[in-house]
Amino acid sequence: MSETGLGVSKKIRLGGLSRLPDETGTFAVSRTESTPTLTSAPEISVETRGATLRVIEIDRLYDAPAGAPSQIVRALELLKQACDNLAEAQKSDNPMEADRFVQRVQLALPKLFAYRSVGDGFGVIINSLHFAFTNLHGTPLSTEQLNVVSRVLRELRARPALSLEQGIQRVEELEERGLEVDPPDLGDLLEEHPQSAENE
Amino acid sequence: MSDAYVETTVLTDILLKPKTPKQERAKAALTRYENTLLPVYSIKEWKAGPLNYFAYLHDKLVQTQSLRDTFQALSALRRGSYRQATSIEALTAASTVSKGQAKTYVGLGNSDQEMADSYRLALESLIIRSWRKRRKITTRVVDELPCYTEVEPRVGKDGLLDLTPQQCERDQECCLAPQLRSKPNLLEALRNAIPEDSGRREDQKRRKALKQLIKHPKEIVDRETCRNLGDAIFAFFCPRNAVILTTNLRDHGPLATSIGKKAEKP
Repeated sequence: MSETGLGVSKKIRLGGLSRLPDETGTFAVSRTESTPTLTSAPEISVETRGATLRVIEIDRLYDAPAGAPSQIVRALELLKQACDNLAEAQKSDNPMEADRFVQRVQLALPKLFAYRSVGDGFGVIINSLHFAFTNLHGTPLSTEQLNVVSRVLRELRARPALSLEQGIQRVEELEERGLEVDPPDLGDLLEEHPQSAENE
Repeated sequence: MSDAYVETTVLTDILLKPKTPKQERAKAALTRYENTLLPVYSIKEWKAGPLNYFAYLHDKLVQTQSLRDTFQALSALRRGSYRQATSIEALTAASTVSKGQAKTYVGLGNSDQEMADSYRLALESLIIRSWRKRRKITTRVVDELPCYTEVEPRVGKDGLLDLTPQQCERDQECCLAPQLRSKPNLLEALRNAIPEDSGRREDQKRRKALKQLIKHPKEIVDRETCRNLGDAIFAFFCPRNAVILTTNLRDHGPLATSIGKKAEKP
């Protein structure tokens, strides 16, 4: 079963839920302990200072009515496929096979970008991943890079409406692993700045 | 081994020209020196100049929602200036080329609007990340400017970038004024290094600002004078055991030499 699969109920004990310091106002859930068991409904219960809260899984939260998938539902589906492919790549001990899974993720980025109205954090992460792959010119991701891309996309799937600030933090994490996340032609644009031209 | 006093152009190459030979050269140059010093004046000039230019591009993309229109707008801005055949015009042309020709842009999306959004997001990300890196690229940040507040660029509710403040505080004398006044002989030498008959507005403003400091030392040095001093500030404040690291040797070279200092290219 993939990491992003449904049908898993997790009991998570937390020291307390805290509201994140961002405009999304979502709750941070720290998965300090989990004992997965198969059930029919995706549900997480959280104990916090004696009270038990029910946390709704992301797929349940954005459950789409039949025949009318919303933007976010479609985006979540695509993110799930991407996360599954990355998980397969992580599991594979054959570098070529792993890279083939990663290539599928790369090909999904334009489709994901079409759902950027989900939020600027979403848009900025997908866009940066696209430029990161472009700048690699086909070179496969290193293990470290694969792990960070996988983690960032899983986080994005769990919280698709990330703010721009949160998105940029994830982009900085990609950059820290040596991924070059900027368009290669931005530097050329700056050459057009009158001051730059005069200074040459 | 001397230290490097990092000037605005090198800061720009490192922070805003990803994946270019200029960035590689600038980064490599920093490793040649034991200490690399970034004056806050460089940060101030960088924010008000190149970073502001990128913010303008970003805002134009927000407004036009078109990569093509944005480049056309930039071309129009430059039309009539000293350089007619700009690469922006070339890029504009490239964005309208017929099928079969090489595509210039590597942004996401198939339509002009999607490409515009891809570059808008890329610019937003680069502007904010580069701001956060600015104080990390050298071994030290020096010559702090108490009259200038460094505020991170932010995206407003209208989607436009806000880069204020770009100047020092208005109702305050330039914090560099006492040090500048204390060495009139250096100011004189710097002024003499600028050709009197230079037709460049930048040179004229710099000569005027230096003259004001020399002839009227008791007058308040305001933020305009500080800004007009520009390159002269680097020559004046560069430590004796350091070289000014700049891609603009044409302007910095004579100024530095006039007071026994040196400017080097990355």
